[in-house]
Formats: sequence, C-alpha cells, structure tokens
Amino acid sequence: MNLTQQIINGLVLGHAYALIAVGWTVLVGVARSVNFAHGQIYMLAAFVAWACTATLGLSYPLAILIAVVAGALVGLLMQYIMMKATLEKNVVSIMIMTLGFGYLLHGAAALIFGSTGQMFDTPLSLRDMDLASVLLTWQDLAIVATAIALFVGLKITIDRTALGRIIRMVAEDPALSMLAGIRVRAVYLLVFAFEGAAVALAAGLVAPRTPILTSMGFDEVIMTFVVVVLGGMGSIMGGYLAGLSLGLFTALFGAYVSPAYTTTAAFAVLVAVLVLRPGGLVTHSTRQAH
Amino acid sequence: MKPLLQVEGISISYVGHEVIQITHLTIDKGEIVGIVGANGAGKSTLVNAIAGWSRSAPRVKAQIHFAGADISALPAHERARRGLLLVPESKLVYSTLSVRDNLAPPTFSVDAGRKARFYTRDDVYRLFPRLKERQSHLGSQLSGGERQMLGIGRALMLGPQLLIVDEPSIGLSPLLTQQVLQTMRALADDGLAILVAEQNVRAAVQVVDRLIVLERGAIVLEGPTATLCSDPRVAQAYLGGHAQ
Repeated sequence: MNLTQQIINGLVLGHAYALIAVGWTVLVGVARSVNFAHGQIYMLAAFVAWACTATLGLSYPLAILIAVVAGALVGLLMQYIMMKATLEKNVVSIMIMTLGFGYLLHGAAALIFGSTGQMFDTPLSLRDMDLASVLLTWQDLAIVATAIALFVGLKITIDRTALGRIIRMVAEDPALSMLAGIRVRAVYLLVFAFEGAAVALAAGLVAPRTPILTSMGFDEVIMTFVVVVLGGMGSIMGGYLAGLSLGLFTALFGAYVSPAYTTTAAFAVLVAVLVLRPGGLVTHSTRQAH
Repeated sequence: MKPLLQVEGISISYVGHEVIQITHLTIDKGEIVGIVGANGAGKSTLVNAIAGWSRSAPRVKAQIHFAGADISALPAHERARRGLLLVPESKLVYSTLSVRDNLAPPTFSVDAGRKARFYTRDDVYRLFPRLKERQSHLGSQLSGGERQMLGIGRALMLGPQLLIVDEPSIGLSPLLTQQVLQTMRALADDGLAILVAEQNVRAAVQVVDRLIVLERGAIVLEGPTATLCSDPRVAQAYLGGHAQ
C-alpha cells in the first residue's frame, strides 16, 4: 500500500463524491431545497444504464445518456409535485416528500430489477492503465475528467451567461425576480431536472466501480450531504473542494487507520468543521459581501 | 379613450381580515399619481396587489385592466412582461450582483406589438450617472439613494408602460428625494405613467399630478394636486397645517 496509490485513490474517490453531489449543491444554492431521494435516483440511474448495456445491448455512452434523461425526468416530476412547498420555502415538507419519493423509487426498482446484486461492467472498467506500480482504470480517469468538465462548465454557465444570471437572481431573491418577468417556477424545474440528471450521470460513471443493488443509495445521499455542508451549502467551487477533501480523507483513513470507520470519521470531521467554521470549508463570496 | 390602468372593486385581506377596500382607481399615460397616507394606511399592500405580487400571502379580489387587457388573473411575472413594473419597498435590488449585472436586459422575448421604451444600460447610466461610477460595486455596497436609482433603472430596462414605485424616499436625504422625484417627473413628461406610493407627502406634492389619500385601506380624498393641497383637511393632516 504505497502512499501514491492512496492519493490517486483519494483523488478518484473525491471526484466521484463531487460529481455525485454537484446536483444537490446547485439545488441548495439556487432553490434552498433538499432532495433525500438523491441516493435512489443514483440507484435507479445505475440500473437503467446497466439494463441498457447488459439487457438491451446498447453502447455504454448511449446507456449513460438514457440514464441521464431518466434522472432529469424523475427530477422534473418531483419538483412539479413539490412546487407549492418550494415556492413557500417549506423545507420540512420537501424533506419528507423527497424521503417518500426515495422509498417509491426503491420499491419500483426492486419490482422491475429484482433484489439481487448485479455487476455493471463497462468497456472502461475492465481496462487498467499501465502506469508503473499505480493501479488506475480508464473508468477512474473518465470519472475525474467528467467531474472537472462538469464543474468548469457549470462555473462558466453560472458566472458568465444570461441563464446563469437568471439563476443567480432567483437564488438571491425569487420574489424580486418575478418582478423582473422571470418565470421562477421554470427555473426551479430546471434546477431539479439538473439535480436528477447530474446524479444520474454520476451513477453511470461511478456505480460500475462496485456491484449495484436496488437497496443502495443511502451511502451516496449521506456522503452528498457531507460534501454539500462542508462545501458551504450551495457554493460550486466549495462543493468541488469538499468532494476532493472527503475523497482523500476517506482513502487515507481507510488505508492507514480503519476502512470500517471511514463514514464515522467523516462525520466526526463534519461536526468539527461545523463547530469551527459554521459556513463550511469554503465560505460563500456572496456572504463575505454582506 | 380608456385609461392605461383601471382597477375596479379591489378587496385585499390577510387571514380573513380585510385591509383594503377600494371601488375605483385609474391611471392615464403620462401622469404621475401619488398614493399618500400615513404608515399602515395600506399603500404598499395596494400597489403590490396591482402588480400581482407580495412577499407575504394576501387574498386579492379585483378587476384589473391594463393596456387594453384583463390582467386580473395573471401572475406577477406576466404583468411585468406586459410593462407593469413595480419597484418594491426596501429590498429592491440584488445585493449579490454588481450594479452592471443588476441592470440586465429583459430575459423574456418581448411582444413586438408592445409600444414601450426599453432603456439600455447606457440610457440608465445617462439618467443616473452615479450608477456608472459604481457599476462594478455589489448591490449590497450601495447607499439607499443609489439602490433607489438602481431599482428604477432595472425597471426602465424592462420596458415599462406603468412604473409603480413604492416609498422612494425611505432612507433618502431630502435633496436625494427631490432628485429621484424630479427624475420621475421627467420620465412622466416623456409619456410614462407613474404610480408612486409615498409617506412623505410634502415631497410628493412637488411632482405628482394627482393625489389619492388613503386612510385605513380606503380612499378618503382624491383629485388634482393643486386642489388637494389647498384643502384644509390635507393641509392639516399631511402638510404641517398650512394650505398651499
């Protein structure tokens, strides 16, 4: 177990965490909303992508695309149903409703895909890269590259485009945005569709690393929660850095202390950070402005 | 000719308690109408309801016609798209956006048949040169007067036919209040209709064409400014005792 290997593992895992959490980061940042069905959308998307390749024989990129569309549709449907609660900022209702959606998705997936575990093999996961003594698959590289591309694209979209400005306006003050002629409901639908699509994309890339089960999703939602809170509740760069930190921490703690207690340790760190830096590791530049 | 805005039978209530009851209110193109009254008279509630907007949840029943169409059932963003623009009280700009980003062109496609002037960012800078000097500052870094200018500038870029400004003088020095109100006068002389809710009656009467005096949610007096200013009741209650 050399240190280089652990750091590589941590970086891959970190990009995976950041990618899994990016949808929720945007959801919190723009709509001040939560989605506790996040892990089940991840699970559903993994099974949709698996079924597309293993059962229907479709290519891996096409399978990911179908899973992303499925994730976006689930997100849209959920937001459509929860619109009133979102507009009223009734986070408790949203929390309970999304937990409910999570159970519905779990039940539906178990009915369709069964309860046995499946191996989600992809053309990339079976190919190791030959890099001296370090183990790395093309799948790992695809996770890192996709996560970086998505975060850069998102940052540019939010900071530099007309759509990004609308999103920033709604994030700060939805009521004032209505007076500017902005359809706030449409922005919320878009944000929830992005949340579903982003976690589905993450599932298509990250889920092949381990066997997939319809009962999975809890670990993903918990780790997402940690990343979002550490990252400063809605900051995109914060989410990226928090994902990376958590990945490195998990890999190093697992290798040198105990793999069984990594989640426990991650939460201990989370509590410590919240006590010392309540705004998260990366404080919002917007908050500094106040 | 029909008025630009016609409100018939407006009733607004909070949790079953009626706070506004007005039978008739109109505004024509090119005029400034001032809604005046004491704190709590219902000025903000009324102008917000005309824009179909509120930060709380009032129950509004009204027949509102604007620019030849019934807009009673339209949500706030649709009314804004038709050129009925409200500059609300207190939180009226984006504090996390720069002045430049606050002054955004419309994000919606504009109906080609709509006759309104859409100010550009440069037009707004010409109207309020102070904003140009502050263009890279965040909304949160502006003074009260600059925020008021920015709020009005934001609305002008969205092509108003009717500009509603709620309490423009709050937090402003008398000099700055005069400036903001004079700018409104100039805009109205260009053909814009303006409805301004104002607690500072002495400042408002300098520029408005017509006054509506609101007390406990009802219109108690209304008429041309000159006539009302010489009314002893108005002078007594709002102008410090002397009819002008």
